[in-house]
Amino acid sequence: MSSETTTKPRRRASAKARVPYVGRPLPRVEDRPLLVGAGGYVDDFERPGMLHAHVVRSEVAHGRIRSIDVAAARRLPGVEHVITAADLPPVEIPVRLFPTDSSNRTLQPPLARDRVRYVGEPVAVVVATDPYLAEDAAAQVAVDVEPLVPVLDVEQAADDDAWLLHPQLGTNVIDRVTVGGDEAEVARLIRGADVVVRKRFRLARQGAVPLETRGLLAEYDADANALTVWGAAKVKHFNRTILSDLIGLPEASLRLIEGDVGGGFGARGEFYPEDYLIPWLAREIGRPVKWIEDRRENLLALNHSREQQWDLELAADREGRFIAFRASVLWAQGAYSRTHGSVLLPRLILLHASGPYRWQAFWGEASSVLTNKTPAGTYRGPGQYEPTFVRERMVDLVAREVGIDPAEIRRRNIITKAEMPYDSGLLDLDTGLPMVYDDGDFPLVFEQLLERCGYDQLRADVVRRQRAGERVGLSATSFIEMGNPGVFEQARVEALPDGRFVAHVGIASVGQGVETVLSQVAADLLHVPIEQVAVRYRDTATVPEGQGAFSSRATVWGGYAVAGAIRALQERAVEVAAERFNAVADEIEADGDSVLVPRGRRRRRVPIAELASEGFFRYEPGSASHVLTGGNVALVRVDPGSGDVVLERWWLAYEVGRAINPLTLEGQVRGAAVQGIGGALLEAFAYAPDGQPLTTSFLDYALPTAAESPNVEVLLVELGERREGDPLSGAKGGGEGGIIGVGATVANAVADALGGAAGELTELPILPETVQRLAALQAPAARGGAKPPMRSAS
Amino acid sequence: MKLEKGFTVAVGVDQAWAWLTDADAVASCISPDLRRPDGERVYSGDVVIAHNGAALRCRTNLRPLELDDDEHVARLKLQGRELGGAALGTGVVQGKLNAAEGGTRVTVSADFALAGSGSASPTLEQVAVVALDGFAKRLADQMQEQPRQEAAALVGASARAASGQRLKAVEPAAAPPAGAAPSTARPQAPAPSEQPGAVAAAPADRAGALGQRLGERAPLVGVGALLGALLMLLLRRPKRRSTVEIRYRW
Amino acid sequence: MKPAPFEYRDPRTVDEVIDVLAEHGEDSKILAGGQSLVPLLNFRLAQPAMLVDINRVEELSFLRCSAGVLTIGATCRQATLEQSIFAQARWPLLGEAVDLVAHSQIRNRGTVGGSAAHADPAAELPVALSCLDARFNIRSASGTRTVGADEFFSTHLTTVIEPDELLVSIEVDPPPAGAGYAFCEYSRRHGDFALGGAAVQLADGEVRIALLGASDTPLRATEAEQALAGQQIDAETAAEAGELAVREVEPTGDIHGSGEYRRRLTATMVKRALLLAADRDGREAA
Repeated sequence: MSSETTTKPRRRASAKARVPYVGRPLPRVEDRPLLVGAGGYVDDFERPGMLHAHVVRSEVAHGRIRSIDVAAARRLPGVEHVITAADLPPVEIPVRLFPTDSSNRTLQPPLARDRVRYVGEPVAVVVATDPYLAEDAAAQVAVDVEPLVPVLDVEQAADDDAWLLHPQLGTNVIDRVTVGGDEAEVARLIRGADVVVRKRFRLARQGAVPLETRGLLAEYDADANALTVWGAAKVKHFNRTILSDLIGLPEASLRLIEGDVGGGFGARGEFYPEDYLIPWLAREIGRPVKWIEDRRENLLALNHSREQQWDLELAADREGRFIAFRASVLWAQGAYSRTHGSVLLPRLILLHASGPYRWQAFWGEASSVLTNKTPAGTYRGPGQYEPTFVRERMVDLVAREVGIDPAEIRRRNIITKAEMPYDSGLLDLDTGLPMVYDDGDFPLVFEQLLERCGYDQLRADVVRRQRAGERVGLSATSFIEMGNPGVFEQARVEALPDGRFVAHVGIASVGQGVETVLSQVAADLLHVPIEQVAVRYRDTATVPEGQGAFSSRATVWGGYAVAGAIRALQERAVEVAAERFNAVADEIEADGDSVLVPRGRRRRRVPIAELASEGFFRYEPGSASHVLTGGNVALVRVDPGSGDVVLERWWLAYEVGRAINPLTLEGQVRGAAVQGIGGALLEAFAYAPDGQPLTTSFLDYALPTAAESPNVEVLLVELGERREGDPLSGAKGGGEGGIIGVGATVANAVADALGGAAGELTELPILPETVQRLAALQAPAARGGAKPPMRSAS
Repeated sequence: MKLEKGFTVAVGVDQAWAWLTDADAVASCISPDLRRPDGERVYSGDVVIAHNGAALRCRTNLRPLELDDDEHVARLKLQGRELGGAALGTGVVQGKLNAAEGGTRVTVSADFALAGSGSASPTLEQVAVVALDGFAKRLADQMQEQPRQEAAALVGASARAASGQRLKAVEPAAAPPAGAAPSTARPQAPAPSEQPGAVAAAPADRAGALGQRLGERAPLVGVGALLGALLMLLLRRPKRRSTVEIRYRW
Repeated sequence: MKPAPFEYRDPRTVDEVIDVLAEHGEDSKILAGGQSLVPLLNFRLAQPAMLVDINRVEELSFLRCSAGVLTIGATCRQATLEQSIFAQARWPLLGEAVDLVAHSQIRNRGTVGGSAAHADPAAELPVALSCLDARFNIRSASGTRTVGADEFFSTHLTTVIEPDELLVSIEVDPPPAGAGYAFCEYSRRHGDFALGGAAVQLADGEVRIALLGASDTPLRATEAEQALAGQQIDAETAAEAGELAVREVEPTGDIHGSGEYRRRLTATMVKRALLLAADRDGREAA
């Protein structure tokens, strides 16, 4: 830059010390309209002549449909249409990710045909002139069901003699996947080890529960044969393809439009029965049809997640060095294979089981099992939160067994920088190639976390308080996150005559701040103020394809797509400039929003907008996945009288490569941590023995609120390498990391506070009743500080 | 932010109390713009204050919180919002009566939380005090003019309303006994023994209607409205563009 | 989650309410703050033919202290009680209880009378009113009757209010000067229905203990009250009283906690409330 002189005055503007937007904690550009009430959520949209749909849902967990009588509902004034499965073509909702033969035989039809398999399964739809009338009429639909035995427990469901949900499959086990090497070798290592801990762990059903429920508004224009659907989210291009297949209209005739989205967390935006039913009805009736999910429906119909059972053996030597583990997991898929199929979650679970630690060998299997409950899918930190809980609990149990501090045992086992590249023994989810850890510095992140929280002092305080009779506990855990999956992403960047630029992207916003971070990237590449950049993502019509927003991928994938589109725009401008100014293209230089054309000894600056209108790019780098690490430290206090758990302090470290926007990232990490606390202490979808859901409102499905949230101190560790001209260099897809280690960290801290009863703490969420019971097992006075006597841990 | 203003009226405590709990009467000497829709207990309106040639409008509403007949304390909740501005104020206004030499000491205090603005300007606080003085004078004038007979009726009805909300008959025992009053003597107040008779002499319908009104309506509503308006004045900032920018959403 | 059709009335006076109830009482529900009724309507768990909205009945909306007695109008908002300086100062148990009711947004709308009439045994205000021996004034076309807290609550979500009757106000006598008091409960989240709790008042050797969520109504632990009367309250006697209080109760379990857990929790809350109340006893008088 020192070569810039006064002879090139025009370059000064861009070359003078411009502080890049990337890396700055900029407030979100999305916030203002949302905060002043000018946002547009799906229920804010109306179309003339709009009708309202209400979905009639099964009230029986398992049964054969004898008949559905809709005559009374049809007769009510204001009712326009009532449909059942008999009115629909025989379609099923396909698996989006990793379909298998078995998952394809357990797909969900939009409306139940001959059987119902969970309470909440759609069986009919009423369309009326008013949402109240629709619900009144829905109450008149008589569904006669011959009850079958509901299968609720995942272990019982996997039994050979269990009642079957899908008899044509011959079993309730849809698929089974494995990880690791030779099972016999692993068994041999475990047999020969000095320290072996065996435990069964169970995690309750939990879910994304976004504050905005789902909703759809569909309108069919018969003249244009065009169908428009408002209310898309997350993966709208995928859903366009699915809808096109199911409804028999070409993709070009379909437009899926996103409004503002009040939370996604993996569940919102997937293709559900309603995503077919509402567009189908709009086309059938010839009038716009709207459906807004109510909270009860949302808790019954949106994908659940997390429910699983683990049997785990972990072997270590007397110094606490891990040798091997062997895991067997039952993943409760629920009643159908939905868009996430039957192997994605089992694979994710096993991928995250080994964590940031060094093993001689490991082996694991995970099966997806049908039960008469709401079908399951991904939920923030899918297949990451759960194995991290299980593994980190086991690590602490081993630490107790061998009598070393939880932080120390992790130090001894975390893969060091010197060992990299380290063959993890795992296979990449997208490519199937061996995963090699060659990036980041796992021990550094963990040590920075311990240093930040003052771990040694905290431990000393905890020991002192425990001796004084307080039930306090401290935990330090570590996690790993396979981030940034995907195959491609697209962007189109337009140059407007007034100097502004619009980036159209195929990723989606679920409220995570995509517009802000992509604007930062674009503004840096274009050398323009961020206000001159707009990011558009809401409409499938503006970018041909896109994969969407999941697994913390939107920033990096979307960012590189935008960067490529800007480069394409600049290249196009250079070409046009070469022609127009009769210059050699090689001598023309793109500089942000302009090109510099040689003119004698000086250079003429020409705005791109005068030369080219848009650039398009498809980012398809093969695999872009990477590993992120982090850790959590929690200090908790337990009230033995009530079983209450108070989170006194919380620290979270997260290695993200580079933070494009530390403010939005920290916000996401904090939000994720709080959501994880819900999973650790509060949330569970409960069912009665007959399969009736017991958590159908926020009274019973307890989400954490500000009052239950500790101040999460976030330490973003940025080890990513910065490359000139690439604002995204070094950045990893982050955000979900905030939730991954939380269940483990709460559980370990509570276990530390409970002392000798710690080994009993094997379930999430941790209920006050459990804490009260375990606290009564061992009074604090009987405890020996940090190294209590260990009972047989098996 | 706290504001306090005291003044003395030359009537007895019970008479002043009765007057102050007749919300409509007090409101009328403050602003004709405050309305209480039929069946509502919240007074609301856009109160306009002219100050230094500039007119300030604020949307104000008032809601009674509690009446303490024994201590002669009335409190109400006040909320105000500057029209066309972003300033908000919310808080509690309290009126308290004490017997004093020459009549009754009326203490009006306000405790407010303000949002969306900086600190109040001293000049405007000055204006608030001056305005409050004006109000105090009008209030005092009104109270002095109030016929004694009617005031006494009001007192009786007030006591009756407080004694369990049964509006069938006036029970002499329900009138505030002297012992229930603060120990500070009330030399200017009508003797308690006079009250039951006065109540009995009052037209039944009048007493009944008042019985229903008192206790439910905002006492000191006028004071609150004035303070609300003044607060909005204090909150006023340099005019900013207040239109909300609505982006192209789709 | 949209209610079934219903007819709606919004009378302006108590007399009008009584007239409507005289005619439609059996098929109607009274709507005050709606904090419990509206969710029940939206879930279609309640499907009354008529809603009688008393929010516009001015004469029911007041909070007044006169001759030492606190009178709470039927539609006095919980927030009004919460913000009332004299109620907080002279009926601190009510103040402590109302602070535990849900969240401030809910208290802005929810009414004291509505909470009492809804008679959820896990709600704080009925328990506090029971502990304070409140009186409930109930009106119908045939006149007004006053019922004590000991008979007001009949069973789960049921009071002695007849279909043609309206709760018009609640009266609470002043506690003895310097009385010790405490309301202790445990809920999983701030603002949730508590899993167990207790209200305690101590004055002049008299002990009052009311249990939350332990039975189908707010429950006075009379055995424990009598056992403690005139006794020094310390950790040991308080713990014993807690055990005594829950000896006969069998709380209903649910997904948030089993009946046995709730029983143990209630004993703990009684103990804590007694100790806290003993700590406060006489402090104001001193």
